[in-house]
Amino acid sequence: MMQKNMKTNLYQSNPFHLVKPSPWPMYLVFGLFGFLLNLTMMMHNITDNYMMLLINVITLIYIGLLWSRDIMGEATYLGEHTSKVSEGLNMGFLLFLMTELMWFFGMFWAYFYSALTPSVEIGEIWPPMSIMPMQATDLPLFNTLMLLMSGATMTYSHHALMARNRFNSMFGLFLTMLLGFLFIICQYFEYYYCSYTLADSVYGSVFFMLTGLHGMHVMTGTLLLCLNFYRLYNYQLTSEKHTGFNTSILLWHFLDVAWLFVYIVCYYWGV
Amino acid sequence: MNINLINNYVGPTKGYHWVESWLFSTNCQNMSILYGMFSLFSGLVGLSLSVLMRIELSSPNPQMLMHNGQLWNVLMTAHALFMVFYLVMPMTMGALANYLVPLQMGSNDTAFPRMNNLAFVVLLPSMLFAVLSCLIDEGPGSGWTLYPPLTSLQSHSGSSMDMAMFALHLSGLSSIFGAINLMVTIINMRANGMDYSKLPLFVWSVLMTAVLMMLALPVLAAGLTMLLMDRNFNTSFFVVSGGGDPLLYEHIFWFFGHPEVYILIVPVFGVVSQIVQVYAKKPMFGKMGMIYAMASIGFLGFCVWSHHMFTVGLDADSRAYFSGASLMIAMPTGSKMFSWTATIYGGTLRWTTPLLYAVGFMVLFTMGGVTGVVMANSSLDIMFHDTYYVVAHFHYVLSLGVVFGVFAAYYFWSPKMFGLYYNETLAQMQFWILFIGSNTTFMPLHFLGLQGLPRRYPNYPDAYYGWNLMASFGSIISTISIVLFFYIMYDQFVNGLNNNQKASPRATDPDFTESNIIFNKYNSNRTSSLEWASENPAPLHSYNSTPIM
Repeated sequence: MMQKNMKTNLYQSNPFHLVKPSPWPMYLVFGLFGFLLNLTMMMHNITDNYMMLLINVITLIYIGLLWSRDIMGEATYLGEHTSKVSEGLNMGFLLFLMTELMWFFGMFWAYFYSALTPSVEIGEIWPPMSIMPMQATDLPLFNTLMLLMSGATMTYSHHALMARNRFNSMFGLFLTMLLGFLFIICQYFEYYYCSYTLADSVYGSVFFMLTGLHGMHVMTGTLLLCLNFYRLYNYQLTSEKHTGFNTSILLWHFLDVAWLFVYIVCYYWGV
Repeated sequence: MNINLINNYVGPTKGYHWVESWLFSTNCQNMSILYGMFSLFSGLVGLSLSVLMRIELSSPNPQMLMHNGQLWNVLMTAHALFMVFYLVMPMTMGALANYLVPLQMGSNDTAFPRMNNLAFVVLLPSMLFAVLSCLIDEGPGSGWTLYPPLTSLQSHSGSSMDMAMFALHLSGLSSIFGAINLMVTIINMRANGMDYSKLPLFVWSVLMTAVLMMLALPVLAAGLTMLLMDRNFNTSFFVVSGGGDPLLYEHIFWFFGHPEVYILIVPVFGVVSQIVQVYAKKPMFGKMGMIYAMASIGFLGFCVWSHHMFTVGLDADSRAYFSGASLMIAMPTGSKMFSWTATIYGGTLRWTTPLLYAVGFMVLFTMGGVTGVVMANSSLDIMFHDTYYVVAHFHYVLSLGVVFGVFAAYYFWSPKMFGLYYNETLAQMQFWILFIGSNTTFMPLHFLGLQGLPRRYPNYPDAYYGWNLMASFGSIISTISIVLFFYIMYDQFVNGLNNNQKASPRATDPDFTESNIIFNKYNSNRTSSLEWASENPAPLHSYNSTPIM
């Protein structure tokens, strides 16, 4: 009944991409379900086998990569990404960033709620009594500089790509990736030598939640940049058409701006 | 390689027909039907839970729970979760939106078909988590709001509360994916000439709802993450001894929770608009006004969250603001109601089942809205908070509002979706039984609430016996109507007449006021919107060539 028009559908008279059936959503959900189930069991000491959780994470990343491989194939080799489709992908990614913004909004809400009227349990001061906050002019400032620089190198790479300069584009992207990695490493050391932990009052909670949320996004962003570097290296991105690169740039700049807020609020203002 | 695989996908590959159509599907119509089945299943679970609760409440002393208050709380939580997250949201933003949005604006499919599939499939583990959380350990006895400290490790030490939170997390993920997909579809994939002013009101309502989902659900995710961290990783966002505040969670939750109730109702506004203009034989009165009303309802939805928290000790200024802002929502909602009434006024009415349901929606949703205006006053809410008056209010707007709208949509569009017509007489009987049953259930709850019966207790003083017994009778009547509904569906699928064969005399009465009979063969409803331009059911991927408006 539904396949009545199969023959007439062999040609396409619209600019949109009719995607083939794909197993990845369902497989991804298997991984997600296993991950959350194992996490629940671990949190309640039903099992202490970290391997299962690790397998789930690997499954998730692997399926994600297979899914992106499909998308890259459709975009580069099958020519499915017409300008209308690219527009849609860009728009979808912007809306996704909007949801990320709202997530940060919720976390900042927690920060300001706790910081603007510190409760009597923490001495009615912010940062709470006997917390030794981090120096804003120390490693965090270095991190800020690196992330802002990475924004500049990102733009350098993008403009070089549009100007058809392969070497400069790859060099700029490499620098951005490097700065992203360095940021993550610095963040690791900052956490490692921090005098307070996640469990030290609501200050520690909101501090690590905000910076950790940002840090996890930087990791994701760096992974995306690596993916783009691979595509750039393989001549998959053109000066005219590089939707995936565009969206990664959007995410990276979003993280820059989010970091500025995190830096001002968590390191500078809240000290 | 098969030519089908090289070209655009046109149909399932041979040999994997079933798997590719239903498990790996990237076709919005298949996803719509999957969403619909999922939603019906969850609706039955939610309904049976509510009937269990009504049986328990049919008498002041314990009926079947045997003083197990925790079990009562679990029943209540599960009822709410199933009804809100697994019945209504998949039905409106999943089943209806997926089928109708591409058809109504002349596009072939949604923008991101794989993500569409993901949005549905994520609901399955989500519901699995919800079921598991009720079955193991002590169950989530907190209500769907999951307020700490009741949800903290001290009060619910088992894993069931974590599972309930994961269920909400995954459901939120599904909604975000679905919302982004539908928004991009509506913004990017409209047919040539289908500009925003020509978009049918249902598509507009879906667009507004998608915006609400995109903005509200990540905030819930943030709150749930903090709750999970508090429970399992020793943080103190909501722990008083660490300088946190449980009230913060209530703020964050209701910042999501209030837009959430508009996420439930706004698609139904679109459904009712479509149905009323068809069966009144008039174009919508004030279409632009309807669009602006939906937009302002959505916007105001983000500005009123603390009216759920009037008794927590907010200062008087906040309560004054939130009272005023909440009262203001009555204005766009009222303007919608008047527009529907004005559309009906002077129209040539055909009292088919969808119109019965739409008018039922209008009457009952108005009643629910009016009690909402009463409770929006923070001074009055001191009395009404956590009484059965609140229960009556939100069941009038959700159970009698949203669900009536969903039934209207089913009776209106199921001939379109399946190409088979239901038995009109039985359907109208089903409407009246449900109308009587649900009003018998929820009308007495107003009186109980006004007399001061608090919600969330399995037992009550003898003085409340009468109205409670009546409400329990009502729930049995509603259940009978749902059983009848399933018979109607069975009858439709097994014996249903094809829509082309003059299945419903009411729907094909001669009509002298309308000239739009171009699509008469498929369009026995004589609507002007685009979805009836194709055959019933719509062909795979809707349109061979993009329609030009």
